[in-house]
Amino acid sequence: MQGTAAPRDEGHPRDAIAAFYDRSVREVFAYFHRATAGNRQLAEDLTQETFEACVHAARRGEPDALTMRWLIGVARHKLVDHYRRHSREERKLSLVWNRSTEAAPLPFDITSAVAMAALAELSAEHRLVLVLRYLDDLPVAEVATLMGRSTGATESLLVRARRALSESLEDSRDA
Amino acid sequence: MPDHDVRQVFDMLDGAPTPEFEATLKQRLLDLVDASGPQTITNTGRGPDIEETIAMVKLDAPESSNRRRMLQIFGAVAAAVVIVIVIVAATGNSDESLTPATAPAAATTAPTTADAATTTEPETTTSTTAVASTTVAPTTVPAPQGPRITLPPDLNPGTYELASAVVPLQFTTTQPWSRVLDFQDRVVLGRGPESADGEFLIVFDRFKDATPETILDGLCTDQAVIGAPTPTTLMGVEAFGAEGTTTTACPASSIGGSGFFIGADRTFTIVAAEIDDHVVVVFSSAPAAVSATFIPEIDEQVSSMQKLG
Repeated sequence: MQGTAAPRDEGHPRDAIAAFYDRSVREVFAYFHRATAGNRQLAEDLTQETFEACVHAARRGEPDALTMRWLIGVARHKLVDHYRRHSREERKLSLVWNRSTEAAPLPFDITSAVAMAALAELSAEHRLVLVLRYLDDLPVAEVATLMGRSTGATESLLVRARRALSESLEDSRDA
Repeated sequence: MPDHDVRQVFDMLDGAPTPEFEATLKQRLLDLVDASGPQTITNTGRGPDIEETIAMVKLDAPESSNRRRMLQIFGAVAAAVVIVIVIVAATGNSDESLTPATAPAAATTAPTTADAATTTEPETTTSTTAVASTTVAPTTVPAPQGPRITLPPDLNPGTYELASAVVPLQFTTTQPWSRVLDFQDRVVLGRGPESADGEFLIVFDRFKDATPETILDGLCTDQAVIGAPTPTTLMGVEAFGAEGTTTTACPASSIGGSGFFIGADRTFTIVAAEIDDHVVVVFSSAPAAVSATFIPEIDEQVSSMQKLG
Protein backbone atom coordinates (compact mmCIF):
# COMPACT_ATOMS: atom_id res chain seq x y z
CA MET A 1 0.00 0.00 0.00
CA GLN A 2 1.55 3.27 -1.06
CA GLY A 3 1.55 6.45 0.95
CA THR A 4 0.39 8.83 -1.72
CA ALA A 5 -1.80 11.61 -0.49
CA ALA A 6 -5.34 11.72 -1.79
CA PRO A 7 -7.16 14.95 -2.43
CA ARG A 8 -9.27 15.95 0.53
CA ASP A 9 -12.95 16.43 0.03
CA GLU A 10 -14.60 19.60 1.14
CA GLY A 11 -18.18 20.12 2.13
CA HIS A 12 -20.27 18.10 4.56
CA PRO A 13 -18.22 15.66 6.64
CA ARG A 14 -20.61 12.84 5.79
CA ASP A 15 -20.03 13.35 2.07
CA ALA A 16 -16.31 13.72 2.54
CA ILE A 17 -16.08 10.48 4.50
CA ALA A 18 -18.25 8.63 2.00
CA ALA A 19 -16.13 9.82 -0.90
CA PHE A 20 -12.91 9.00 0.88
CA TYR A 21 -14.22 5.55 1.73
CA ASP A 22 -15.19 4.88 -1.89
CA ARG A 23 -11.74 5.87 -3.05
CA SER A 24 -9.75 3.89 -0.55
CA VAL A 25 -11.67 0.85 0.67
CA ARG A 26 -10.46 -1.50 -2.04
CA GLU A 27 -6.85 -0.55 -1.53
CA VAL A 28 -7.13 -1.00 2.22
CA PHE A 29 -8.85 -4.34 1.85
CA ALA A 30 -6.27 -5.54 -0.70
CA TYR A 31 -3.50 -4.58 1.68
CA PHE A 32 -5.01 -6.60 4.51
CA HIS A 33 -5.84 -9.47 2.18
CA ARG A 34 -2.19 -9.79 1.22
CA ALA A 35 -0.93 -9.17 4.72
CA THR A 36 -3.13 -11.86 6.23
CA ALA A 37 -2.24 -14.50 3.67
CA GLY A 38 -5.57 -14.23 1.93
CA ASN A 39 -7.71 -14.52 5.04
CA ARG A 40 -10.81 -12.74 3.77
CA GLN A 41 -12.69 -12.65 7.06
CA LEU A 42 -9.74 -11.21 8.88
CA ALA A 43 -9.11 -8.71 6.12
CA GLU A 44 -12.71 -7.53 6.42
CA ASP A 45 -12.43 -7.18 10.19
CA LEU A 46 -9.24 -5.17 9.99
CA THR A 47 -10.62 -3.01 7.19
CA GLN A 48 -13.64 -2.24 9.32
CA GLU A 49 -11.54 -1.38 12.36
CA THR A 50 -9.35 0.89 10.27
CA PHE A 51 -12.22 2.87 8.81
CA GLU A 52 -13.96 3.14 12.15
CA ALA A 53 -10.82 4.68 13.58
CA CYS A 54 -10.74 7.00 10.60
CA VAL A 55 -14.31 8.15 11.18
CA HIS A 56 -13.72 8.72 14.88
CA ALA A 57 -10.63 10.76 14.09
CA ALA A 58 -12.49 12.79 11.49
CA ARG A 59 -15.26 13.54 13.97
CA ARG A 60 -12.68 14.67 16.50
CA GLY A 61 -11.36 17.10 13.93
CA GLU A 62 -8.12 15.29 13.18
CA PRO A 63 -6.96 17.28 10.14
CA ASP A 64 -5.27 14.36 8.37
CA ALA A 65 -7.93 11.76 9.06
CA LEU A 66 -9.16 11.70 5.48
CA THR A 67 -5.80 11.24 3.84
CA MET A 68 -4.31 8.03 2.56
CA ARG A 69 -1.16 8.61 4.56
CA TRP A 70 -3.08 8.73 7.82
CA LEU A 71 -5.23 5.77 6.83
CA ILE A 72 -2.19 3.68 5.95
CA GLY A 73 -0.64 4.46 9.31
CA VAL A 74 -3.78 3.30 11.08
CA ALA A 75 -4.01 0.18 8.93
CA ARG A 76 -0.43 -0.75 9.68
CA HIS A 77 -0.97 -0.34 13.40
CA LYS A 78 -4.13 -2.45 13.23
CA LEU A 79 -2.13 -5.16 11.53
CA VAL A 80 0.65 -4.99 14.09
CA ASP A 81 -1.95 -5.11 16.85
CA HIS A 82 -3.52 -8.17 15.32
CA TYR A 83 -0.27 -10.06 15.00
CA ARG A 84 0.80 -9.15 18.49
CA ARG A 85 -2.45 -10.59 19.81
CA HIS A 86 -1.73 -13.87 18.11
CA SER A 87 2.00 -14.13 18.52
CA ARG A 88 1.86 -15.37 22.09
CA GLU A 89 -0.04 -18.54 21.28
CA GLU A 90 2.11 -19.22 18.29
CA ARG A 91 5.26 -18.83 20.31
CA LYS A 92 4.60 -22.24 21.77
CA LEU A 93 4.45 -23.73 18.31
CA SER A 94 7.60 -22.09 17.07
CA LEU A 95 9.79 -24.69 18.70
CA VAL A 96 8.12 -27.33 16.61
CA TRP A 97 8.21 -25.22 13.51
CA ASN A 98 11.79 -24.06 13.81
CA ARG A 99 13.85 -26.17 11.44
CA SER A 100 17.53 -26.06 10.72
CA THR A 101 17.57 -27.08 7.09
CA GLU A 102 18.86 -24.60 4.56
CA ALA A 103 16.30 -22.83 2.42
CA ALA A 104 15.73 -24.10 -1.08
CA PRO A 105 15.42 -21.73 -4.06
CA LEU A 106 12.00 -20.27 -4.63
CA PRO A 107 9.89 -22.53 -6.82
CA PHE A 108 8.45 -20.09 -9.32
CA ASP A 109 5.86 -22.44 -10.65
CA ILE A 110 3.80 -21.78 -7.55
CA THR A 111 0.19 -20.75 -7.81
CA SER A 112 -1.59 -18.12 -5.77
CA ALA A 113 -3.11 -20.92 -3.73
CA VAL A 114 0.34 -22.22 -2.89
CA ALA A 115 1.51 -18.71 -1.99
CA MET A 116 -1.53 -18.25 0.20
CA ALA A 117 -1.00 -21.56 1.95
CA ALA A 118 2.69 -20.90 2.43
CA LEU A 119 2.13 -17.49 4.02
CA ALA A 120 -0.66 -18.87 6.15
CA GLU A 121 1.72 -21.48 7.53
CA LEU A 122 4.14 -18.86 8.82
CA SER A 123 4.13 -17.78 12.42
CA ALA A 124 2.48 -14.44 13.12
CA GLU A 125 5.85 -12.90 13.87
CA HIS A 126 7.40 -14.10 10.63
CA ARG A 127 4.45 -13.00 8.56
CA LEU A 128 4.37 -9.57 10.17
CA VAL A 129 8.02 -8.85 9.62
CA LEU A 130 7.72 -9.88 5.97
CA VAL A 131 4.62 -7.76 5.49
CA LEU A 132 6.19 -4.67 6.98
CA ARG A 133 9.45 -5.11 5.11
CA TYR A 134 8.30 -6.33 1.70
CA LEU A 135 4.64 -5.41 1.36
CA ASP A 136 4.94 -2.01 3.03
CA ASP A 137 8.53 -1.49 1.88
CA LEU A 138 9.51 -0.04 5.22
CA PRO A 139 13.17 0.27 6.11
CA VAL A 140 14.41 -2.26 8.65
CA ALA A 141 14.79 0.42 11.31
CA GLU A 142 11.13 1.37 11.00
CA VAL A 143 10.05 -2.27 11.06
CA ALA A 144 12.09 -2.66 14.22
CA THR A 145 10.35 0.29 15.85
CA LEU A 146 6.91 -0.98 14.97
CA MET A 147 7.70 -4.43 16.30
CA GLY A 148 9.41 -3.18 19.45
CA ARG A 149 12.72 -4.81 18.57
CA SER A 150 16.27 -3.73 17.95
CA THR A 151 17.42 -3.33 14.38
CA GLY A 152 19.80 -6.25 14.72
CA ALA A 153 17.11 -8.51 16.12
CA THR A 154 14.80 -7.49 13.30
CA GLU A 155 17.39 -8.30 10.67
CA SER A 156 17.87 -11.73 12.21
CA LEU A 157 14.13 -12.21 12.29
CA LEU A 158 13.92 -11.30 8.62
CA VAL A 159 16.50 -13.92 7.75
CA ARG A 160 14.56 -16.57 9.65
CA ALA A 161 11.26 -15.42 8.16
CA ARG A 162 12.55 -15.60 4.60
CA ARG A 163 13.92 -19.06 5.24
CA ALA A 164 10.63 -20.16 6.78
CA LEU A 165 8.71 -18.80 3.80
CA SER A 166 10.95 -20.63 1.36
CA GLU A 167 10.48 -23.89 3.25
CA SER A 168 6.77 -23.30 3.53
CA LEU A 169 6.50 -22.73 -0.21
CA GLU A 170 8.24 -26.03 -0.81
CA ASP A 171 5.93 -27.84 1.56
CA SER A 172 2.81 -26.21 0.17
CA ARG A 173 3.75 -27.01 -3.40
CA ASP A 174 4.47 -30.64 -2.53
CA ALA A 175 1.17 -30.91 -0.76
CA MET B 1 15.31 -16.15 -0.63
CA PRO B 2 15.89 -12.87 -2.52
CA ASP B 3 13.84 -9.82 -1.61
CA HIS B 4 12.04 -9.56 -4.93
CA ASP B 5 10.86 -13.16 -4.58
CA VAL B 6 9.18 -12.36 -1.29
CA ARG B 7 7.43 -9.41 -2.90
CA GLN B 8 6.29 -11.65 -5.69
CA VAL B 9 4.67 -14.02 -3.24
CA PHE B 10 2.67 -11.15 -1.74
CA ASP B 11 1.71 -9.88 -5.17
CA MET B 12 0.04 -13.20 -5.89
CA LEU B 13 -2.48 -12.61 -3.13
CA ASP B 14 -4.46 -9.82 -4.69
CA GLY B 15 -7.98 -9.60 -3.35
CA ALA B 16 -11.00 -7.32 -3.52
CA PRO B 17 -13.81 -6.80 -1.03
CA THR B 18 -17.19 -8.17 -1.91
CA PRO B 19 -19.80 -5.57 -2.95
CA GLU B 20 -21.91 -6.62 0.03
CA PHE B 21 -19.06 -5.98 2.46
CA GLU B 22 -18.29 -2.65 0.85
CA ALA B 23 -21.89 -1.49 1.08
CA THR B 24 -22.43 -2.74 4.62
CA LEU B 25 -19.31 -1.14 5.96
CA LYS B 26 -20.06 2.12 4.23
CA GLN B 27 -23.48 2.29 5.79
CA ARG B 28 -22.01 1.48 9.16
CA LEU B 29 -19.49 4.25 8.88
CA LEU B 30 -22.11 6.77 7.83
CA ASP B 31 -24.15 5.75 10.85
CA LEU B 32 -21.10 6.54 12.93
CA VAL B 33 -20.83 9.94 11.29
CA ASP B 34 -24.38 10.87 12.06
CA ALA B 35 -24.57 12.16 15.57
CA SER B 36 -28.05 10.77 15.93
CA GLY B 37 -27.21 7.36 14.51
CA PRO B 38 -26.32 4.24 16.44
CA GLN B 39 -22.66 4.30 17.36
CA THR B 40 -22.03 1.14 19.24
CA ILE B 41 -18.45 0.15 18.61
CA THR B 42 -17.83 -3.54 18.25
CA ASN B 43 -14.99 -5.82 17.31
CA THR B 44 -12.42 -3.75 19.12
CA GLY B 45 -11.00 -6.73 20.93
CA ARG B 46 -11.02 -4.80 24.18
CA GLY B 47 -13.88 -6.55 25.89
CA PRO B 48 -17.55 -5.89 26.30
CA ASP B 49 -17.18 -3.47 29.16
CA ILE B 50 -15.65 -0.81 26.92
CA GLU B 51 -18.15 -1.43 24.17
CA GLU B 52 -21.05 -1.09 26.56
CA THR B 53 -19.64 2.06 28.05
CA ILE B 54 -19.06 3.69 24.70
CA ALA B 55 -22.48 2.67 23.48
CA MET B 56 -24.07 4.06 26.61
CA VAL B 57 -22.34 7.37 26.13
CA LYS B 58 -22.85 7.80 22.43
CA LEU B 59 -26.23 6.41 21.57
CA ASP B 60 -28.54 9.10 20.30
CA ALA B 61 -26.52 11.88 21.80
CA PRO B 62 -24.91 14.89 20.15
CA GLU B 63 -21.22 15.45 20.63
CA SER B 64 -21.51 18.08 23.33
CA SER B 65 -23.97 15.96 25.22
CA ASN B 66 -21.62 13.04 24.90
CA ARG B 67 -18.92 14.96 26.63
CA ARG B 68 -21.22 15.90 29.47
CA ARG B 69 -22.36 12.33 29.87
CA MET B 70 -18.80 11.12 29.73
CA LEU B 71 -17.94 13.54 32.49
CA GLN B 72 -20.95 12.37 34.46
CA ILE B 73 -19.81 8.81 34.11
CA PHE B 74 -16.28 9.78 34.98
CA GLY B 75 -17.60 11.48 38.07
CA ALA B 76 -19.67 8.46 38.90
CA VAL B 77 -16.66 6.23 38.53
CA ALA B 78 -14.77 8.45 40.89
CA ALA B 79 -17.71 8.30 43.25
CA ALA B 80 -17.79 4.54 42.94
CA VAL B 81 -14.12 4.39 43.79
CA VAL B 82 -14.81 6.53 46.82
CA ILE B 83 -17.58 4.14 47.75
CA VAL B 84 -15.32 1.17 47.47
CA ILE B 85 -12.67 2.90 49.54
CA VAL B 86 -15.19 3.68 52.23
CA ILE B 87 -16.68 0.24 52.16
CA VAL B 88 -13.39 -1.53 51.99
CA ALA B 89 -12.15 0.53 54.87
CA ALA B 90 -15.27 -0.47 56.73
CA THR B 91 -14.64 -4.16 56.26
CA GLY B 92 -11.49 -4.28 58.28
CA ASN B 93 -9.11 -7.15 57.70
CA SER B 94 -6.72 -8.90 59.95
CA ASP B 95 -4.61 -10.13 57.06
CA GLU B 96 -1.34 -8.28 57.47
CA SER B 97 0.29 -9.82 54.46
CA LEU B 98 1.07 -6.44 53.01
CA THR B 99 3.27 -4.68 55.46
CA PRO B 100 5.62 -1.76 55.14
CA ALA B 101 8.98 -3.42 55.52
CA THR B 102 10.98 -0.30 56.14
CA ALA B 103 8.39 2.43 56.16
CA PRO B 104 8.27 4.97 58.94
CA ALA B 105 6.15 4.05 61.89
CA ALA B 106 3.45 6.47 60.83
CA ALA B 107 2.74 4.33 57.80
CA THR B 108 2.02 1.18 59.72
CA THR B 109 -1.52 0.10 60.14
CA ALA B 110 -3.17 1.98 62.93
CA PRO B 111 -6.85 1.07 62.59
CA THR B 112 -9.06 3.91 61.53
CA THR B 113 -12.54 4.45 62.87
CA ALA B 114 -13.97 2.85 59.79
CA ASP B 115 -11.77 -0.18 60.28
CA ALA B 116 -13.62 -0.98 63.45
CA ALA B 117 -16.80 -1.70 61.56
CA THR B 118 -17.36 -5.02 59.86
CA THR B 119 -19.10 -5.63 56.57
CA THR B 120 -18.70 -8.99 54.95
CA GLU B 121 -19.82 -8.09 51.42
CA PRO B 122 -18.20 -4.77 50.62
CA GLU B 123 -18.99 -4.78 46.91
CA THR B 124 -22.72 -5.06 47.39
CA THR B 125 -23.19 -2.72 50.30
CA THR B 126 -24.93 0.48 49.26
CA SER B 127 -25.97 2.22 52.42
CA THR B 128 -22.99 4.25 53.46
CA THR B 129 -23.13 8.01 53.70
CA ALA B 130 -20.86 8.41 50.69
CA VAL B 131 -23.16 6.34 48.51
CA ALA B 132 -26.28 8.26 49.32
CA SER B 133 -25.01 11.57 48.08
CA THR B 134 -22.84 10.78 45.08
CA THR B 135 -24.04 7.81 43.05
CA VAL B 136 -25.23 9.02 39.64
CA ALA B 137 -24.74 6.55 36.84
CA PRO B 138 -24.94 2.77 36.62
CA THR B 139 -21.22 2.42 36.30
CA THR B 140 -19.75 -0.34 38.39
CA VAL B 141 -16.38 -1.10 39.82
CA PRO B 142 -15.63 -4.76 39.18
CA ALA B 143 -15.60 -7.17 42.04
CA PRO B 144 -12.13 -7.88 43.30
CA GLN B 145 -10.55 -11.27 42.97
CA GLY B 146 -9.73 -12.83 46.30
CA PRO B 147 -9.41 -11.22 49.69
CA ARG B 148 -7.90 -7.88 50.44
CA ILE B 149 -4.29 -7.53 51.33
CA THR B 150 -4.14 -4.82 53.91
CA LEU B 151 -2.16 -1.75 53.09
CA PRO B 152 -1.88 1.29 55.33
CA PRO B 153 -4.13 4.17 54.26
CA ASP B 154 -1.13 6.43 53.87
CA LEU B 155 2.10 5.22 52.41
CA ASN B 156 5.07 7.30 53.37
CA PRO B 157 8.32 6.79 51.50
CA GLY B 158 9.57 3.31 52.24
CA THR B 159 9.52 -0.29 51.09
CA TYR B 160 6.28 -2.25 51.09
CA GLU B 161 5.67 -5.94 50.63
CA LEU B 162 2.67 -7.40 48.82
CA ALA B 163 3.08 -10.92 50.11
CA SER B 164 -0.46 -12.04 49.23
CA ALA B 165 -0.65 -10.53 45.78
CA VAL B 166 -1.13 -12.82 42.80
CA VAL B 167 2.58 -12.38 42.20
CA PRO B 168 4.10 -11.58 45.59
CA LEU B 169 6.36 -8.58 45.31
CA GLN B 170 7.79 -5.58 47.06
CA PHE B 171 8.30 -2.03 45.90
CA THR B 172 9.83 1.14 47.25
CA THR B 173 8.24 4.57 47.13
CA THR B 174 10.16 7.80 47.27
CA GLN B 175 7.09 10.01 47.59
CA PRO B 176 3.91 9.63 49.65
CA TRP B 177 0.89 7.79 48.34
CA SER B 178 -2.58 7.01 49.61
CA ARG B 179 -4.12 3.59 49.40
CA VAL B 180 -7.12 3.45 47.08
CA LEU B 181 -7.60 -0.29 46.65
CA ASP B 182 -5.57 -3.28 47.67
CA PHE B 183 -6.72 -6.69 46.62
CA GLN B 184 -4.80 -9.73 45.56
CA ASP B 185 -5.33 -8.94 41.90
CA ARG B 186 -4.72 -5.20 42.04
CA VAL B 187 -3.25 -2.49 44.13
CA VAL B 188 -4.21 1.08 43.43
CA LEU B 189 -2.46 4.04 44.98
CA GLY B 190 -3.50 7.64 44.55
CA ARG B 191 -2.31 11.13 45.22
CA GLY B 192 -4.58 14.11 45.68
CA PRO B 193 -8.38 14.14 45.68
CA GLU B 194 -9.66 11.22 43.62
CA SER B 195 -6.08 10.51 42.52
CA ALA B 196 -6.15 13.69 40.46
CA ASP B 197 -2.50 14.42 41.19
CA GLY B 198 -1.23 10.95 40.45
CA GLU B 199 -2.19 7.30 40.41
CA PHE B 200 -0.25 4.07 40.44
CA LEU B 201 -1.72 0.66 39.74
CA ILE B 202 -0.35 -2.83 39.85
CA VAL B 203 -2.86 -5.23 38.33
CA PHE B 204 -2.76 -8.93 37.65
CA ASP B 205 -4.68 -10.88 35.03
CA ARG B 206 -7.40 -8.27 34.66
CA PHE B 207 -8.20 -9.01 31.05
CA LYS B 208 -9.09 -12.39 29.63
CA ASP B 209 -6.61 -13.82 27.13
CA ALA B 210 -4.51 -10.68 27.29
CA THR B 211 -0.82 -10.57 26.67
CA PRO B 212 1.54 -7.78 27.65
CA GLU B 213 1.46 -6.61 24.05
CA THR B 214 -2.30 -6.51 23.75
CA ILE B 215 -2.62 -4.67 27.03
CA LEU B 216 -0.64 -1.85 25.52
CA ASP B 217 -2.43 -2.04 22.21
CA GLY B 218 -5.83 -1.72 23.82
CA LEU B 219 -5.07 1.35 25.84
CA CYS B 220 -6.85 4.49 24.66
CA THR B 221 -5.70 3.98 21.09
CA ASP B 222 -7.76 6.81 19.70
CA GLN B 223 -7.68 9.15 22.66
CA ALA B 224 -3.99 9.39 23.39
CA VAL B 225 -0.66 10.02 21.77
CA ILE B 226 1.35 6.95 22.67
CA GLY B 227 4.96 6.22 21.96
CA ALA B 228 5.93 2.95 20.36
CA PRO B 229 6.15 0.10 22.85
CA THR B 230 9.73 -0.55 23.83
CA PRO B 231 11.29 -3.62 25.40
CA THR B 232 12.09 -3.26 29.08
CA THR B 233 12.10 -5.41 32.17
CA LEU B 234 9.75 -5.78 35.09
CA MET B 235 11.01 -7.58 38.16
CA GLY B 236 13.76 -9.05 36.03
CA VAL B 237 11.41 -10.35 33.37
CA GLU B 238 11.19 -9.23 29.75
CA ALA B 239 8.41 -6.67 29.42
CA PHE B 240 6.88 -4.07 27.13
CA GLY B 241 6.67 -0.46 28.19
CA ALA B 242 5.16 2.68 26.75
CA GLU B 243 4.45 6.28 27.63
CA GLY B 244 1.70 8.50 26.37
CA THR B 245 -0.49 11.48 26.96
CA THR B 246 -4.24 11.43 26.73
CA THR B 247 -6.05 14.04 24.69
CA THR B 248 -9.49 13.16 26.02
CA ALA B 249 -10.69 11.00 28.86
CA CYS B 250 -10.81 7.38 27.81
CA PRO B 251 -11.86 4.05 29.24
CA ALA B 252 -9.04 1.70 30.12
CA SER B 253 -10.78 -1.36 31.42
CA SER B 254 -8.01 -3.63 30.18
CA ILE B 255 -5.91 -2.45 33.06
CA GLY B 256 -8.27 -1.10 35.65
CA GLY B 257 -11.51 -2.96 35.11
CA SER B 258 -14.90 -1.80 33.96
CA GLY B 259 -15.49 1.87 34.59
CA PHE B 260 -11.84 2.81 34.87
CA PHE B 261 -11.07 5.98 32.97
CA ILE B 262 -7.93 7.92 32.36
CA GLY B 263 -8.61 11.63 32.51
CA ALA B 264 -7.81 14.07 29.75
CA ASP B 265 -4.40 15.65 29.36
CA ARG B 266 -2.62 13.17 31.57
CA THR B 267 0.74 11.61 31.02
CA PHE B 268 0.80 7.91 31.66
CA THR B 269 3.33 5.12 31.77
CA ILE B 270 2.59 1.46 31.42
CA VAL B 271 4.74 -1.62 31.72
CA ALA B 272 3.36 -5.10 31.12
CA ALA B 273 4.99 -8.48 31.48
CA GLU B 274 4.11 -12.12 31.84
CA ILE B 275 5.47 -13.27 35.15
CA ASP B 276 4.92 -16.77 36.49
CA ASP B 277 2.07 -17.28 34.01
CA HIS B 278 0.34 -14.08 35.12
CA VAL B 279 0.02 -10.89 33.09
CA VAL B 280 1.25 -8.12 35.35
CA VAL B 281 0.59 -4.52 34.41
CA VAL B 282 2.05 -1.52 36.18
CA PHE B 283 0.29 1.69 35.21
CA SER B 284 0.63 5.25 36.39
CA SER B 285 -0.74 8.60 35.33
CA ALA B 286 -0.55 12.21 36.41
CA PRO B 287 -1.38 15.60 34.93
CA ALA B 288 0.83 16.19 31.92
CA ALA B 289 2.08 19.38 33.54
CA VAL B 290 3.98 17.42 36.18
CA SER B 291 5.28 14.64 33.96
CA ALA B 292 8.86 15.91 34.18
CA THR B 293 9.01 14.95 37.83
CA PHE B 294 6.39 12.23 37.89
CA ILE B 295 7.85 9.94 35.25
CA PRO B 296 11.31 9.69 36.83
CA GLU B 297 9.65 8.98 40.16
CA ILE B 298 7.57 6.21 38.62
CA ASP B 299 10.53 4.79 36.74
CA GLU B 300 12.38 4.51 40.02
CA GLN B 301 9.38 2.96 41.72
CA VAL B 302 8.93 0.39 38.95
CA SER B 303 12.63 -0.40 38.99
CA SER B 304 12.42 -1.05 42.70
CA MET B 305 9.82 -3.78 42.26
CA GLN B 306 11.11 -7.23 43.11
CA LYS B 307 9.46 -10.60 43.36
CA LEU B 308 9.24 -12.08 46.81
CA GLY B 309 10.23 -15.60 47.55
